[in-house]
Amino acid sequence: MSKRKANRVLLIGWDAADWKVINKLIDENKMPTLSKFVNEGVMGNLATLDPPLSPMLWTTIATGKRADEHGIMGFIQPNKKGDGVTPVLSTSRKVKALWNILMQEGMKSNVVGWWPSHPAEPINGIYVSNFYHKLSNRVNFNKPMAESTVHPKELHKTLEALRVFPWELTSEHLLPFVPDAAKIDQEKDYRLNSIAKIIAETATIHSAATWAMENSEWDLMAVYYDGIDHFGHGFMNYHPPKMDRIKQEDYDLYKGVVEAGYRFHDMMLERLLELAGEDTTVIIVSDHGFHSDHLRPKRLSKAPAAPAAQHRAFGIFAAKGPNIKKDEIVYGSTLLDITPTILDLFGLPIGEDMPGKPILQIYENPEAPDYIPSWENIPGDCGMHSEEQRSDPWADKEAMEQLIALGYIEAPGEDKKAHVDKTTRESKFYLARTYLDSNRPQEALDILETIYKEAPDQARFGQYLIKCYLELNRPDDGMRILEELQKAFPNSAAQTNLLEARLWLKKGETDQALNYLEKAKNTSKDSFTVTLELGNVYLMKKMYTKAETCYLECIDINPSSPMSHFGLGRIYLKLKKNMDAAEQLIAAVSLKYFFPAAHYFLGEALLRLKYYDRALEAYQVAVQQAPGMEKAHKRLIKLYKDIFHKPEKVKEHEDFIESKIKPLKMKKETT
Amino acid sequence: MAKKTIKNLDDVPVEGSLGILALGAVGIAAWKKKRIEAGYVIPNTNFMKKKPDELKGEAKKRAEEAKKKGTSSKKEDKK
Repeated sequence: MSKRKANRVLLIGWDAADWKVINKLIDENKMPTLSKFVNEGVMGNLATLDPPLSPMLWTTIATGKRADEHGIMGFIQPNKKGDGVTPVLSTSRKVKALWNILMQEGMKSNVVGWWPSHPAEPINGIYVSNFYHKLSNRVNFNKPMAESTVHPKELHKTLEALRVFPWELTSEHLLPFVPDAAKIDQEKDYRLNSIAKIIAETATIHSAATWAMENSEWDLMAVYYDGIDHFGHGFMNYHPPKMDRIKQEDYDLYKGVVEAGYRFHDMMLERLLELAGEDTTVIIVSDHGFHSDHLRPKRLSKAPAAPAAQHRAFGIFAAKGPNIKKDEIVYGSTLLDITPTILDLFGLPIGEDMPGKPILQIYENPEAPDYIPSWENIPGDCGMHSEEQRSDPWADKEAMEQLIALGYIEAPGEDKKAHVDKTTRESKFYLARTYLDSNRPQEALDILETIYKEAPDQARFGQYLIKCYLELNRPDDGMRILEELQKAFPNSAAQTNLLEARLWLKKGETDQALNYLEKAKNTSKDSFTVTLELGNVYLMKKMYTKAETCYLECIDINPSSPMSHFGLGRIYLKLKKNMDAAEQLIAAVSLKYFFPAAHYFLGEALLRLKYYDRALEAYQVAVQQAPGMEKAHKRLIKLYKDIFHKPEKVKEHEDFIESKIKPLKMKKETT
Repeated sequence: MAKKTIKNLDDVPVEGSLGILALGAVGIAAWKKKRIEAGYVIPNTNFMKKKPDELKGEAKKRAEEAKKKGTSSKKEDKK
């Protein structure tokens, strides 16, 4: 059995926190607590999942499961009656969260503000739901706390009294965010109001978290702050550098809000660390990043959840504590890895049904983790809501419709019904994207075909359907949908040109693909996606100089794109610039660790440079990530035979090719 | 459980501060207590003086007026 490595774990969630903003503030000594934290611990990127919607992502962080397994889809869900919608609830979560697993192992957890976590779950510890800090702006109005916000119920009054309301705040709180607040004409501009609300809600969560830490025994303390995300959505457009479309007076007033938000979180972190003590393992995570530079979207569409376009694909990961490395960077982590990592810290086995892995790179002395088939089958009270309380809101809605059809209940009003239908369709869209994100296009297909048929006015449903057909190698079906989109949305040429290029590429028509990509490039010159795709096609056509120009342009637009570095690495390999190739491919795998092709080509570069040990390592990672990659196995066989003289390893890989890869290839050829 | 004490909570300013909020429960409780003891009346800061419903009502009224004039509120903003 794996050894317990942490006395206790403090898990801090900072929604939308991003290293791009933080690193700059650390350099300017404006986040001293986090600066010290990462110097004494590890830090790295945390890759998000698609769709990057916070309730889905935070549930993944707490369960180690993707959305199709955990059941939280988007921000709202149909209510129990099915005649309206409610915010997503903890009762819709279908699987155990960390705190449920720990309860079964006799450990105590405190959970504060997790999204979604209302109604409070009856765990062995303090549980404060995400309805706790949702406050009203009304002056002198102490909004009563919703029932079931706090567990145990005896703490209801104590915690209710610890909330901070926006109207309680004074200029002492506001001026650090907006030093020139006095200049604002508040009859017309209500933005100070929303800043006050975010500060008050953040302070309220912090109040409950610190109270729980001081007044209870705990093994796991999980606290979630949404302030950084809210400051970002409200004020990132005023963050330096100034965006062209932002008025100078607005920029001058609100340019410091995001920075002040981060600094406030740094101050709160200091208190959390003080209360946790040195013997606690502390993990800080965000579910996604937030564009803060030239990549900020110029316009947001009116589609539901459109603000998610402001999210960046990498959130933050940082950890510190006993047996954790100091001042190191960890690579290749995703949101799926947090639950396995915390289970491993407690010496508990990881569910084989959890698609992530423990981040073993954090340890001074890593040990192999333990596994069990699943935590879901372990019987006993785990503090989840009872079966009766737990519901599948989508199934409830189906049941509701069935009851209406049978005449048992009256149909809801037309508007309400339309709203519920829209919500249900939106959740199906997110489910389909979850399938696509995890390489399961066949499972996404039915859903996308249905919702596209139901709502052909939603271009994004058609676009994702085309992506799905591309994954399924059905370019002709994709072309059919594309023609429909082109007729219905004649103004979105750049988007459809890009899709058309991808479809031609799938059909093996590279000249046609190039033609459409060049058209797309003309209509949207600074589009990262179009330029990257253009680079890929130039590379395929062996037009290396043009391809190199495209990839370099992509790196200029977004230096943290693994695909651009990968493309450049491949060009340099072709041009026999092996050292340059190795550098680019290392950059690619540093940004995206799960990238078997990049590890393979890195192996090629290192082999040519005669760095045999490191080449071996790169090929090994490639086959770990993609066991069916025959060419990587063949390279390993050659290295083990000619350089390392390990016949048993040669046999191992030869056997793998014979027993696993060849039969699959034969089956594929037959079908 | 390790209780941590904060020094000088008696000196919490009645107006509060971000530092006091960052102390969490102990700071917030001390600040609220201090306000009561000092008989401090929270200034009716401009940014809080209207109820959301009032604000919504005003926005609606402006939109209606703009519609009557044949100009959108966005156009008015630009002017």
